[in-house]
Amino acid sequence: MTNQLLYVSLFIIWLKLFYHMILIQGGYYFSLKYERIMKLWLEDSPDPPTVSILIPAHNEAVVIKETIESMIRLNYPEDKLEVIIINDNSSDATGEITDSYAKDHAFIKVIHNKPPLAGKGKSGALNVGLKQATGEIIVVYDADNTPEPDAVRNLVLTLQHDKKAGAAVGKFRVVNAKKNLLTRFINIETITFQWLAQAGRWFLFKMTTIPGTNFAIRRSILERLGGWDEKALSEDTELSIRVYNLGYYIRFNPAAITWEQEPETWNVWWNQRTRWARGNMYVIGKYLTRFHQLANKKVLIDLVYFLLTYFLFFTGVLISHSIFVINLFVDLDISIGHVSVVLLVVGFLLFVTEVWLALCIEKQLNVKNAVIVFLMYAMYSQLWLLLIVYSAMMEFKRVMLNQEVKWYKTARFKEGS
Amino acid sequence: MRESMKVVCTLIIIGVVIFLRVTNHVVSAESVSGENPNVLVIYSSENKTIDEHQKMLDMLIGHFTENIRFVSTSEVEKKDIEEVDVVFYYGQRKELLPRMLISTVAKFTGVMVAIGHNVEQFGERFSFIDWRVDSAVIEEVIHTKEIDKQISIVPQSIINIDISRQQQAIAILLGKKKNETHPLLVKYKKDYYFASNLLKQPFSIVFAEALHEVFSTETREDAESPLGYIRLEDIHPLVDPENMMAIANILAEKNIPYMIAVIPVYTNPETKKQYHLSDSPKLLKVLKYMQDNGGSIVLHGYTHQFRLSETGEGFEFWDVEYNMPIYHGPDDAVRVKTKDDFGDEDEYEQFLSEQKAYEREYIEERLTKGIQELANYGLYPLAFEAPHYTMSQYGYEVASEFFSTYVGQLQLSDEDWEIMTTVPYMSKPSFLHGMQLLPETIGYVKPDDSQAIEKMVLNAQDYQFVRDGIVAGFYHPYLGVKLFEELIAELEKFPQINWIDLKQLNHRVQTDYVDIKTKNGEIVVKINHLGLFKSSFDYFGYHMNNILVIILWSVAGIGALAVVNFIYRIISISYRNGRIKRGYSID
Repeated sequence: MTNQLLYVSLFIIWLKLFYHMILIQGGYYFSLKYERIMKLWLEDSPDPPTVSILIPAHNEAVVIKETIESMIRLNYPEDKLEVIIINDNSSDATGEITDSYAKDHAFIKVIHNKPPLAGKGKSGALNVGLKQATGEIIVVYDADNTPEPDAVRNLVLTLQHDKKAGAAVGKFRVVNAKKNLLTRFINIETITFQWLAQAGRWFLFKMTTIPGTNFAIRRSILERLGGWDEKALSEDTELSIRVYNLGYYIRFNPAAITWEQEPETWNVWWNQRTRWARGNMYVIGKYLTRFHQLANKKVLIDLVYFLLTYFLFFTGVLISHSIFVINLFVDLDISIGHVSVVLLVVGFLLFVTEVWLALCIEKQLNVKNAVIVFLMYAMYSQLWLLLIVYSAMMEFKRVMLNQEVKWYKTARFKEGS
Repeated sequence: MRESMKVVCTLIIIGVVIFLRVTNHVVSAESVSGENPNVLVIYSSENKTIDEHQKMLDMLIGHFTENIRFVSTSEVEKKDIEEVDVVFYYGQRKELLPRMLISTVAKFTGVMVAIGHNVEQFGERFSFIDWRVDSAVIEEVIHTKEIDKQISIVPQSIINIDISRQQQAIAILLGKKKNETHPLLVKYKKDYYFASNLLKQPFSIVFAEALHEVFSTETREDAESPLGYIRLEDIHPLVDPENMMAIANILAEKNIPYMIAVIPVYTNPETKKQYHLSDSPKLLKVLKYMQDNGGSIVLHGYTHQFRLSETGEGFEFWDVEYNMPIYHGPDDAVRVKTKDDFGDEDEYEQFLSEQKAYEREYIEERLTKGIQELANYGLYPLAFEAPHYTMSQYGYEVASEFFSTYVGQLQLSDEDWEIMTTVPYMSKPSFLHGMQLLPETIGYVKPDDSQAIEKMVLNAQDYQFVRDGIVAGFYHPYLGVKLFEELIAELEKFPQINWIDLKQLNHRVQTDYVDIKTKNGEIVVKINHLGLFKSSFDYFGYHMNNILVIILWSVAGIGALAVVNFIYRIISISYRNGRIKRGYSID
């Protein structure tokens, strides 16, 4: 029985590892060709459409100034652009700062969202913003984002040239990557995520997930969908699935770059990631039970992947870990032999080389990062294991007690502090 | 005209057939030939039961025929000699022979072989023998037909007879002590007499040879070179595969076929943990190699142990602590009861049948598991060998339902396992219920005996006295390769032993789901896999594990290839980037 359990867990683990192997290969191929496509689009750029940028902000005084400055620097015709900041019941200086900018710039608008309308989380704030927005294309940025000047133009170009794209997603870079070990980990993690999951899935399956910031979506689509799902914890994944259901796909364009802040303390990191994990678990629960209703069966790949990531993979890792640990003390009669050691080593090497390849594509592979990858495997990845278990328990509790979903806002850090 | 010719021809044919049928049992030569002659054994024994002495005779006659019937002197009737080719009388005990027996024997016109006591009571028939009062002691036996054929024996006392009065009587075997000779086997017309009431060794060897005269079988073309076999003994899952492989290579190189006595399960007596061959993939591989390169598998029990004994050491089909068959579980209280413990006959019979039923179930389970487990690994046992050669008489009957060939020596009594013997040649004694016996004759290399090999060689020499004699011994591979090489070197000094390849003989091994046969030197196997897998998950589990391990290795292989591929990509990107902008890095 133990042997069978071990085999099953190994197969689940390797199913995911194989998927990652294929994805990073796709990401690599995509990295070779996207710049050429961008060049072609720029040579043949049609009239820019009207764009509304939505920035939900709840107590963002620390970072909002930088964000608005970057909006002003955007390389997009001012008469076609509106920036709507939804000040969602902030108790700090967010309202004052945004108001002062709105006074000086006609294209910057502020909505002060007060109770009872406020406090409905990011989705609620975005829905409020969407009602006021006039642009043909809606772009969303988190309040801690500083997009590069060409980011919005490149996102819009993508939607203009690809009619089947319902939304376009850009790439993000970490502003505070060199702050400490945690931000270095996150930097490496985000780079890997973008080249492996986003670019790889886009290249292989024409699939991408909206990351919550730095994306453009056709207004028509949002209207058909009735805006964001206010119940969803990770509204972006949820929105992505609904876009696919309409028959559109979401296109990844690494040429639209934004810089964002990442958590600098483990505590903040834990809360943010727990929210993501629980959000994705919510999505699995919502769609997997009625996957037959999904118009675009491609979404199943993602749902299965989520299922694999959040439940099966970690269950597999947990089971195989515990079997090996228990076997140290009690003879469990494990018959697998040398292949288990080989699998362990190869699995580790796959992790390292895949992350290195992603860093290499992003031109961030240097000795320091290369070494940090080893540390990441030993520490960061193992923390994820705990986090998933914790999140699963919280979600289980929530479903059992029928609790309300709450938005844990990610704490911001002042640049250079 | 034509019609009448046809009728005449038909009549002639019918006439010839009838003549042949009638004369078949009337006309008889001085010795018996033909396949499977009918043999009747009339015996005088203690309690009038068939004991180890009659079984010894059974084993000796079993070389020549499968049709042997035993009847006690008191039970002989006239019809018993109908259709009988040879009558044996075995006077193991002295007794007054019933008149019915004497008159029946007097009417028998076929070949008769009398052994031991009471023969003078047959009157006319054996009147060519003069009986001396004292007994004779012999130290050597010589064959009068072949002067160079002789065998030295431990001094034995025999019945002292004289045949000099009858000119036509001849002594085929002569016992000898210094210059004195005594007839041991004599013949007059169609009657033979063997002057010893014991048939066990060393008499079995000389009697076996003498039986060739009685049955006048056609001897093998290569009769001069003895048959033989080597058996690698007690091969259980924890046996060192490297020793086995080395021995397999030696035997393959010398082109010597051999047997491997396999015990499918090793039980650690202290931890009670069981190890199956699937736990020793290396040994399994070696065994398969052996099977494909001259080796034949013999099932040597399932665990070769009972209660808390160790595999290879313990008895499996005999409770040695109580010296009785397995009539109880290892932890059950043992009920040793005699007839006196029961009120009436029925209760006693009931008790006996319950015991037998228990023993049957026990043996059936272990043989079934043994055969099926090995077959599931792709190892096909062709014969059976009971651990320590111990098994009850009923046990042989149960085993015969699974196997057609038995290897080793035979336990002849249900009272004491140590009453055990061998026979000099292949045999089909009736108490094996159809199983053919490939006897082990020369023993084994005892670990603590420095002269073990010499003793085996001495034993082997004795069997050269017998036509079709078998030189067969066994070896425990844990003793190492060097000792084995010595043994083989010694055996090779014999005039070209004809090594038995089990696959060349006919065998049938069957359970509900496995059917193993040999045909033209090949093993033909039919396995009902579905049935097998349904009977226990372990059978399927073994195959599934094998496939899973192969898949896991492929997974690891693909993963390793991907790692190499990624490293190559990293190097090529770095090289390209380096050319575009040397030293560029975001960090």
